[in-house]
Amino acid sequence: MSLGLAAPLWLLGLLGLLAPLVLHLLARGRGRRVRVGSVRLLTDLPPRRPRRLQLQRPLLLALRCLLLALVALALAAPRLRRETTTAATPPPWVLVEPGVDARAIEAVRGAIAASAEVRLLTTGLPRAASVRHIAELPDLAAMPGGLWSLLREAAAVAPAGTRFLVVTSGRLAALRGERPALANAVEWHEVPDPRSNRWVARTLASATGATLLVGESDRTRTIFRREPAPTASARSLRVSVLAAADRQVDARYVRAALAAAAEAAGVRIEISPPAPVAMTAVAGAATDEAALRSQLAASRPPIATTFWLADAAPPAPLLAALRGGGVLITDSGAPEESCEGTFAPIASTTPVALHRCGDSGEGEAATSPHQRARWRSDSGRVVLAEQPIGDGRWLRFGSRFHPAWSDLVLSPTFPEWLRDVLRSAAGSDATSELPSSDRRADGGQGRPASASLVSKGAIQLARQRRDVRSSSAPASPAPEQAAWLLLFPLLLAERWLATRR
Amino acid sequence: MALPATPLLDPAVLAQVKDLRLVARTLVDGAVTGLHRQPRAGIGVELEQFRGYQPGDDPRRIDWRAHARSDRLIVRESPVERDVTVRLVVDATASMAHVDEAANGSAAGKRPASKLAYARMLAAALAFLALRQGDAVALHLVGAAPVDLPPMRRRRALERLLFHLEAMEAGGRWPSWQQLGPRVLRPRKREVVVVISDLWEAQTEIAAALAGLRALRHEVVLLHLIGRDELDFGWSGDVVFEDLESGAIIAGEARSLRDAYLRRLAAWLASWQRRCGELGVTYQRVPLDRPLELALRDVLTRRRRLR
Repeated sequence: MSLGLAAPLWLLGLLGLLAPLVLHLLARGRGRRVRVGSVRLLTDLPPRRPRRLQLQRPLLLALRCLLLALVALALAAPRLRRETTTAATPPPWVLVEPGVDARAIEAVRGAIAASAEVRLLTTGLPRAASVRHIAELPDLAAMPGGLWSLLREAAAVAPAGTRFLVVTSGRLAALRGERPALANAVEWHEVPDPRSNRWVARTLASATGATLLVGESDRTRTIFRREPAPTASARSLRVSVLAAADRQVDARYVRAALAAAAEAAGVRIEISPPAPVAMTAVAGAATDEAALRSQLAASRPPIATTFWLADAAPPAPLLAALRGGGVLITDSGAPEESCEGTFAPIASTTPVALHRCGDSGEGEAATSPHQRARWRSDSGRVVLAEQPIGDGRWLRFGSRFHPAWSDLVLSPTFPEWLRDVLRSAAGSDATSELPSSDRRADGGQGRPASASLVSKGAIQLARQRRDVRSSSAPASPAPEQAAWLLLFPLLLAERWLATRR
Repeated sequence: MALPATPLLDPAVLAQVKDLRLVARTLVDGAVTGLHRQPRAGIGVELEQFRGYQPGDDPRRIDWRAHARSDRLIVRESPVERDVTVRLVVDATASMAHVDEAANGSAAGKRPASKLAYARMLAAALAFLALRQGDAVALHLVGAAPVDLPPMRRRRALERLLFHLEAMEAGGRWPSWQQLGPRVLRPRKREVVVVISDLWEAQTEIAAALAGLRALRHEVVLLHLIGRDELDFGWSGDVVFEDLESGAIIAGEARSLRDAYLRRLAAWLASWQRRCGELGVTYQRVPLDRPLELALRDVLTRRRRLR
């Protein structure tokens, strides 16, 4: 054990001892007050000879100097350093993030610790030599717990006092969760990461849709550039709204909601027929199965979403086309019955009133085991049922898209729901194709907290002195604390002495 | 003049004693043993002079033995014991609150006594002594709370005197002779006036009072109380001197003031002694560190020598 100083530069503070020395030399002193019978014999004395330079109140001066010296010493953070023989020091571990440049690893190892043990930062911390295909290891950023949990594991596995040399790309994505407090000395080496490092800084609205501000960063520079939002403008969905003659009002609500939903989803849709058509034409088309079939087959790209708004069941060609994917949404008008109640289409939205109901296909529920109730009214009645058919889905609405039947078409929930339907029909979320954030941590983030923290100030000092005490065992804070604690009685004594008469 | 067998009592120690009567008695017993003149030894015992018999003389006073030797009628004359009034004038002005810090060397740890406490004990001892001798005692306290007790010779007078001495507090200034004179003068009789003061005056009022008292042919004894620190200028370092009476403040480094102060002090003391000599006042300097018995003895011996 030996007493060392963690921040010896603070000893320069001892120069501050000059201040009380000078003050005590120059101080005239307040002077003792003496009450005498008369000062007659003292008045108008000839000018006194100048006072010689002499120390006033030497005891107080000594105490003040001691106080200042103690402050400087406490700031210099004395600590007991355990003398450890080199034989007892375990070889350091080089913890390498899989995927960083192998040449960088060798460089670090050769420059810092030739005897080091190289281990990979992945589950089980295997030795680098024992792993054949480093490229197949999971990305550190994708691992649960990330880098910190692996460092904790390393601290638990490694012999006590092992020094860690962490070689990492320093990506922020790998630094998840709470920074651990490790007793080990940790050195942080960031190496260039050959992988892409892009992120979306901001999404901007533009005339053509959305524009992304994409940042690209490497070790030398960071660039921002504008890119069009990737998927939304490129794709378009075909939506077919087929309405019977008595459903023309319903069709208008549906078309309006579709337009709103498409805008919200960032999807361009193409509604066919392009305008609400005469009921006879639709009815005629609906009855002519062969014509419909050919029409469906001819449509490219295939129709993603179809609304069949009629009392009649959807024709067979529609169902057949559904097997290839897409969503079929039907309503039910007959047999009509009154069912007052409410239902909540989307969780956490306000319930929507239901006035009249039709057949939602509950009777077929028994025959079709895959049918699932999506919405239920407060009375338990199934309002929307979903039935998978092939790769597609058939959504049966137990009412009509008409304000007299249900408040759904008047509610903002309706386009919201349609937006979700369109998104699922589009196949995937457009945002999933955006580049994921892969920013790097700055230096301060990429370091584990020290285990022997005394105060906030000590954190700063601990960072500064990490290199200083890299070869030392965990230091004891006791002398530092003792110095701080000793300050208070000394301060009190100084005050007492200074104010005493 | 036998010295008392007991160790001399330190003024600082005596000042701790609450019972002033006890203090006075202790002092007198210590100081006056063997010194005291018996005032009532008997008419004719002490010889003053012989003279020839003249008609009208009391035949009982003819000294028959002298007549047998010389065959002449010779009358023996003895000194007549006079009826003496002792008038104590005690300075109780603010300056008497001076505490002599240098005088407590002999009684380390004890709080040093002030001039006022010293004067109180001295006056009590003198009053006790005078009353025991059968003299009348008058008391005047000069200060913020003036007290004037007429001459009293009864035993109970001591209680009144001690009461007022104990209640005495320092304050105020010495009044002018125009104010003080009527209080202390009783022109028809000659008295012994003992003035206990530190002689710190604003103008020359104390000197005027001494002159006024002497003008009536009173015997005046001046006890000048002075602190040992005042005598030696026993201060050091930076000192702020505060005048107890005027409140004036003189700050300075003690050592640089010392020489000039001592010169002035010597001149000042000399001037007082000279003035007292001119007036016929018995001047007795009493440093505060002088044991009270000795101070009392000094007073008594000086006074007898004058008689």
